[in-house]
Amino acid sequence: MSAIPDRGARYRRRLLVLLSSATFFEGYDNFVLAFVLALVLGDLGGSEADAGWIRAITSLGAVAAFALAAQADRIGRRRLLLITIVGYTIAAALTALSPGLLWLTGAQFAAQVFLGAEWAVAITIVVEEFPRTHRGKALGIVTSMNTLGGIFVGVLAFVGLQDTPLGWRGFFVVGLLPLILIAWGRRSMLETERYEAVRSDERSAHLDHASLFEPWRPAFRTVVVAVGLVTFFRYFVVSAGAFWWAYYAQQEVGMSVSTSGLFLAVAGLVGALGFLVAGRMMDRFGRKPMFEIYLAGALVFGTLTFQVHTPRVMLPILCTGIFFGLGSVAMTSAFATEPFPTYVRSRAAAWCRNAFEIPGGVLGALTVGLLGDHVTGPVGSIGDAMALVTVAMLPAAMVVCWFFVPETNAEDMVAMDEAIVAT
Amino acid sequence: MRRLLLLGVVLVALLPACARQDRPEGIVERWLLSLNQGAAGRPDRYAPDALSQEIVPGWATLDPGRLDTVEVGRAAADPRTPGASLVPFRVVDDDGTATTGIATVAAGGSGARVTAIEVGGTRPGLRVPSEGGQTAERITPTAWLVALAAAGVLALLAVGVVTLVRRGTASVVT
Repeated sequence: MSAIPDRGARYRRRLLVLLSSATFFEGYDNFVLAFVLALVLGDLGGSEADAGWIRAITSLGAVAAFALAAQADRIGRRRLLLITIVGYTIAAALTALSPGLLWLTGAQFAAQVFLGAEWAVAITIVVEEFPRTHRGKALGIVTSMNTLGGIFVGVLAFVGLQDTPLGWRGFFVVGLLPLILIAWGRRSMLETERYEAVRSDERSAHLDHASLFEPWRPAFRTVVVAVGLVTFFRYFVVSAGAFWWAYYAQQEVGMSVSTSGLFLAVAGLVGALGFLVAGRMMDRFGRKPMFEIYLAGALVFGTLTFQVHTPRVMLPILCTGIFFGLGSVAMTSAFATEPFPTYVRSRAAAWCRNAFEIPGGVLGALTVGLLGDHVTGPVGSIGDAMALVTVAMLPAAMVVCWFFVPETNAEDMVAMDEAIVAT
Repeated sequence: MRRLLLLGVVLVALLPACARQDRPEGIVERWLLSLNQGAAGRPDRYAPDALSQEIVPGWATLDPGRLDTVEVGRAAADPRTPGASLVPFRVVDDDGTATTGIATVAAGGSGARVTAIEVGGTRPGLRVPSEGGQTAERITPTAWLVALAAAGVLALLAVGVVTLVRRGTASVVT
């Protein structure tokens, strides 16, 4: 099964660039709608509650992405990654052309379908192509690009893309850039070694490579639910924070669009170190201890971020909140892929990501929008609603992880696959 | 799992029903944001046209996005008019010109509306957050306790769900 020769560090570096570019635009698109939200509502009309619903509906696209992401176990990781990149760029173009909120919501729904699948398959490729000693580091790099994509939004806002004749639409025109990746990636990228090895092994013929429900076999079910709940609670808070911070800064703290863009860029850049540190530390100290430390940091600094109204004080707290909050995705990416054998890994990751994590993000942004609506919300402030939701949700993720998620720091993929085909 | 999903949907559906109210700060903010949308924003839903013209003259014929910053502070009861509230606000035009003032919000036939503004006006304790004033809302100690209690309940629920799944899995395997 493991007879395929190693492709070497040079290929893996090139692969890392391609995957990082894909996750970069996943982060870009997740941040961009949040960031230009006030401009979009100003141009097309709408309230905070409308914004919450838009976020909820578009995020459901990432839930629908489940069916697409799960195909990676059937058609291969490489082919699915390229399909998702093309699909996303088309959806970005349609978003830029939006005449109203309904069109925009539909186009962003489609974008999320492709981005949701793209993320799951990119993480799976990392786990399968990188040796055990470097997996965490590679996961840290690829996931950090997600935040750098968000920073890029802030940089574009700071240089005044919103002031060009295209206005907020210019941000979605930038989303066409991944097409360049296709020209390069379709020639240089290969199918993962683990996927090829398992598919070419005759002993794996008895395994179900197609059923969406294979990860719910008794052998995998408990881990799917535990990891799913951890990602649900974590992303409930992180997604809501990422979505509402710019709005909070602009409407409740009184920052201008360009200042909040600068803050987002600086905080994102500093915060992106959180992914890289997490990647290295989890290879050294294990996934679970680092996850607990990161979520404790996210709990404290995430709450403070939405309670501080002095811009100078907010910046270092925001940086630290992003460091811990977003950086923790390096560990959840490992949780969602490493405990599962290759033949079912993409589907398991898709269940964790698309059936748990994304709904968490949908409900998080929606809940904060409804609680914090300035006229009718029970809390009446986005910042206060965000702080309360952070305190209520993150401890549950920490508890479930501690008791039920397996430590996979020393997991040997080849041995795991050998064991599963031998059954 | 289905029951949990159903519970989640019901909770989200019930959220808006928890408290239906018209916050004066929200009314003023909506008014200023709608002014920033030009004619499409229909600011007449929140204030008479004469008041809108004081903030953005000719708003109905201007392109959206004239205001770079819209900010409101915490409201206080209007001592002169029972039932009315005073809301400090600040807007910054796209050319950098800042306008501050106090808006009066009072209940009308179709809900609360902005009934008067005093551009450049000040009152003790009425300031926008960027000038040292308080934001519209502040979390009460009770709300923090409710959030902590919710954290405990959610953690217990999650542990219960995984334990149930694990027990079910064990019975299938054996």
